[in-house]
Amino acid sequence: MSERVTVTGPPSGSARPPHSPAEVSGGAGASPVRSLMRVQAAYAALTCAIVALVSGGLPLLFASEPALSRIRILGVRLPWLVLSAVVPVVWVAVARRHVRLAERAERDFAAMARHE
Amino acid sequence: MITMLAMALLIASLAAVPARGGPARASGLYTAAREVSPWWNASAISGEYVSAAAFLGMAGLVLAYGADMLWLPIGAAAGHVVLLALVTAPLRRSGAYTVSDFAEWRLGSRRVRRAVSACVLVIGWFYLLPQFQGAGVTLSVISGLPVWMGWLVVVAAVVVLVLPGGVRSITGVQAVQFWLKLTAVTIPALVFIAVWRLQNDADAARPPYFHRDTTVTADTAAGIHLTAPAVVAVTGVLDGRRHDGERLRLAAGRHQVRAGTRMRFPAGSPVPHTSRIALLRGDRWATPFAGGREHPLAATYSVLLATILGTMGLPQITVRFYTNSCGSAARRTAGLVVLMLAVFSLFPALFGTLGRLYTPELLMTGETDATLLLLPQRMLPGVTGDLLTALVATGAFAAFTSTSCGVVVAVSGSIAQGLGGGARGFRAAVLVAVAVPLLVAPWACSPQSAALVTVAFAVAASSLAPLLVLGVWWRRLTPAAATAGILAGGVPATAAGLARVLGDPGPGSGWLGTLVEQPAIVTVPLAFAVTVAVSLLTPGRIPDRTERAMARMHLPDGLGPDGPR
Amino acid sequence: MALPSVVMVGISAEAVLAATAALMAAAAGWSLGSARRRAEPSAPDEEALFAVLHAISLTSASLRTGLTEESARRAARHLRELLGVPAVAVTDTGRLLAWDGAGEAHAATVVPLAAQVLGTGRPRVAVSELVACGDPGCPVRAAVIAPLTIEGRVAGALAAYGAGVRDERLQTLGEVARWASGQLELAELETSKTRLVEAEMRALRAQISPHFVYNSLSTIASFVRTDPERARELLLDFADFARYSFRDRRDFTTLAEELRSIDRYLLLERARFGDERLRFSVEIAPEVLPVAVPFLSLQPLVENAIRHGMQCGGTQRLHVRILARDAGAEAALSVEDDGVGMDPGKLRALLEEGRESAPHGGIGLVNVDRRLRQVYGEEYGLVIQTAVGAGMKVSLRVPKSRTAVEARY
Repeated sequence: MSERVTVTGPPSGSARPPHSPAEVSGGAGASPVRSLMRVQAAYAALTCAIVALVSGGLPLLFASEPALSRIRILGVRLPWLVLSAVVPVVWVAVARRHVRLAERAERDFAAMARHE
Repeated sequence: MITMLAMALLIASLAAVPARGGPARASGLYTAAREVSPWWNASAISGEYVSAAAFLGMAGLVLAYGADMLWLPIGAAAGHVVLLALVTAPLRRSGAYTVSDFAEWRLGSRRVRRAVSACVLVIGWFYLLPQFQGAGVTLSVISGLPVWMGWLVVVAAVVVLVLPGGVRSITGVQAVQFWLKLTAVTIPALVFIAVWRLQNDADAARPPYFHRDTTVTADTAAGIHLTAPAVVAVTGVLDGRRHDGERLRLAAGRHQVRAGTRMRFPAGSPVPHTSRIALLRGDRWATPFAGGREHPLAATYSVLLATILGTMGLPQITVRFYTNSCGSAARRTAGLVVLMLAVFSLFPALFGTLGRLYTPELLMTGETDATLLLLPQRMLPGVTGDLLTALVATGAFAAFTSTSCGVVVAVSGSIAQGLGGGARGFRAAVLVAVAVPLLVAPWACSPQSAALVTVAFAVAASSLAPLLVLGVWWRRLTPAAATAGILAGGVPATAAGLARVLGDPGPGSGWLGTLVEQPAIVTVPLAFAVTVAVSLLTPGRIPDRTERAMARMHLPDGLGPDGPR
Repeated sequence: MALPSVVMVGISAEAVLAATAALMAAAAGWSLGSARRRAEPSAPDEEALFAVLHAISLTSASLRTGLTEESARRAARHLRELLGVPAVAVTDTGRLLAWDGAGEAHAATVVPLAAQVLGTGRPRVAVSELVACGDPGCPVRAAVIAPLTIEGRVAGALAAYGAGVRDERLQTLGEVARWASGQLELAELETSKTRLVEAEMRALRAQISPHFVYNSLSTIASFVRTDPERARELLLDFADFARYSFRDRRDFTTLAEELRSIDRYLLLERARFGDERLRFSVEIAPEVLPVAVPFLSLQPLVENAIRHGMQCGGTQRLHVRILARDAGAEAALSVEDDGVGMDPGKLRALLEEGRESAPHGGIGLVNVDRRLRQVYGEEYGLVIQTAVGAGMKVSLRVPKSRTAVEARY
């Protein structure tokens, strides 16, 4: 059995693509895209607002009310309990909600696009 | 022995997940061609994210600084919520593999691509440095080898795994490692809680003291603070005088220890603090914003801003979503990542508290990264403790290797094109990515890896976050504005990061010190403002492709213009 | 048949390129002269030369996209700079595409003025009475109109306006129009090349089918009585495979889909040759499954391995190995067989000839090679390792990011 030899084709001269993949088919109409984007942007803004409120509000709350830090629940100080157990649950809930809303918006859009 | 066991387990974890396929019936191809599920990919991303630094370092930070450090895991999970809401699905639909690809495609500019790639490289360096440092500490704690051996082991592992052309099936490896890490912290956590309850003798809020006779060896020359007088047996050089095991009565206040000095503290004596870590007594440790830092509220907001917006700019996270088959799978993956990280964010508080009770001498050596590694032997001397240490060390090494591999692969994918592209460019990029942190590691002063990770977050939040958020949602973004924003935020954040990593006495005091330590609160708004302002000033340079790009990113999978998903 | 025409277009492309280069040089020389005449005595020649070359390159860039309103508008501006005249107009065969410069009132009369040129294909001069408007200060007093031709066919007209017919700048319009025509011809060539690739695509699909369809169907037929359940499954596989191969909606697919189609193909081939003679192994990194690849870029390689490997022997076994690995920003794919292999020289000749005419072997390889180079660039062609009796390994690389390909163009 002989050793394999490496072969490549000759340069073809033109490396331009027949057309870029972006031009393969026409885009959807701009205005439905905009309306879907507006809906998605509103959901995203809401999610970010909740995140901002929680992560912006809690430090302010604990800084302005040191008394909160002395409250103990089940032997654990309130800030420790809130930061390591409650807030993560809030994040999970917010994330779940966002995924559901965003998917519903897309389903509605897809249904509308099929009907048209 | 423990080291060997840990290594064996690590290698087993890497080898346990073969690439899919193998000799198969024809239909084996069909199985092999099934794409990665959101759950599996989310495990991999979480495995990536729960990095060595987070795994070991956050517990150490809580041990040292108390309640103020609980914001870090909060920000980390919140970062994924924001990533999910703003970036994941559109980025996946764009078809871009790295942020550099995204920038070039969205704005049609090579210059923006270069700026982004430079940022990715800097972020990667800042992220790798603490991984190496953490590896060094882990290895030296479990085996007594010098710290730099740990760096070399991780670098060698990365080079061996990545250079031949990528780790086989890295997603599977990382997904398995996430569950390994989760096991590695959950089992000790449950055991510790039980032991703690049984012993029930301690309140973490008390000033730390030694529970039993403890010998501490100083690895490096250090200044230590004693809160109360103590009788100590010293072997080595203390305050410039040589001692040979005799007992000394040390007055409260500052003392200087030379490297290699051993000090034996009797049970009940207070734990000295290294001068690198601010002294926190009792309540001030347990109460947010009571830690005596300057501008604690601003610093906290800055950390939160950096972690929340910086997550989307971490190269190793964004490339992972490419593995999903489509935009909505990517979004579901991001949702699951939030869930998995939420579970993880319980542990730093727990281990930090236990660490303050059982391994307080770390406050003296400053090697707080070792908290989780020392806890098992302290709480459960004997075989059980050894086994738990092996478990934790395995998880830690798995974390170092997989995180470093992930970062190196992502960074190299981003910059390879600038180094000639193809396989050669990729190899050059891998070497560039690991060489710099390895060279910088000996000069870096802060031993706390989790604190160093925030530097990477700050740079990412100040440079790539505006590009991603505005690139996905704002039609009027122009190439010039993107470059300007990256420079306006990235340069000061990088400068602050360098000052923090290399500045030996640590940053100065006052507002400047706070900002050098946590620059995000200034640099992030600056970067966004500059990006928006320059965009509005250069309306003529909005790329022609904008409308089409928006449609591709935001239309549901399969409906967008062109191409397969 | 589409294939011979590849060579023809190749030749004509070279001819057009050469002609264009000559025209460009002529135009540059001419423009330099005219620019020098216009330039201040103190102005250095280099600057004027640079300005002219710059205008030429800009015009050329606009025209290379074809003759549309958009391209005409951009080109007209540069053409006016190039000619140094007050106004320039561009039309296609029926309407005004662009007017650039002073005296916009004349824009409405361009098409009637150009009608004769469009009809005869010869340049004409229009004097003041045809061109004049009411404005005494109007710089537009005379026009020269020259045809824009593509492959001998009049596609439009270029009109330059000036103060009078004696204006020497107007006289050079013919040259410029010929040069512009050359650019348009190149644009047309690009388009026809695109069409050609599409035609090749169709040809490739057609090429797979006759043999394969016949063989598959007869295999399935042989199972109908002995194993009707298997026949039914194979028929479904065949239907799925055919649906995938004949769809023409998109030029790109994901690696996952391409692999699934290969799986169906393999099932059918295996039914024909038997599980013992034809063996496969696959190793796929799941990370690369979502990578966008040109449609039918891997399947022809597998088909080639089987056809070539199975037909030359008789009863020998064939082992085909499909590999897809994650390689940083790229996916590395390969199809390897342990069949009879091929003479490297013959294969090289086949690739250089650029034709699929070999009676056996090489089918699809050349086509895939060319398409990969066209989409991703020269460095992404196939790499084939083979020798007589040593099997064959065909490797290719595909960039993961779709956007990297798009952004480049």
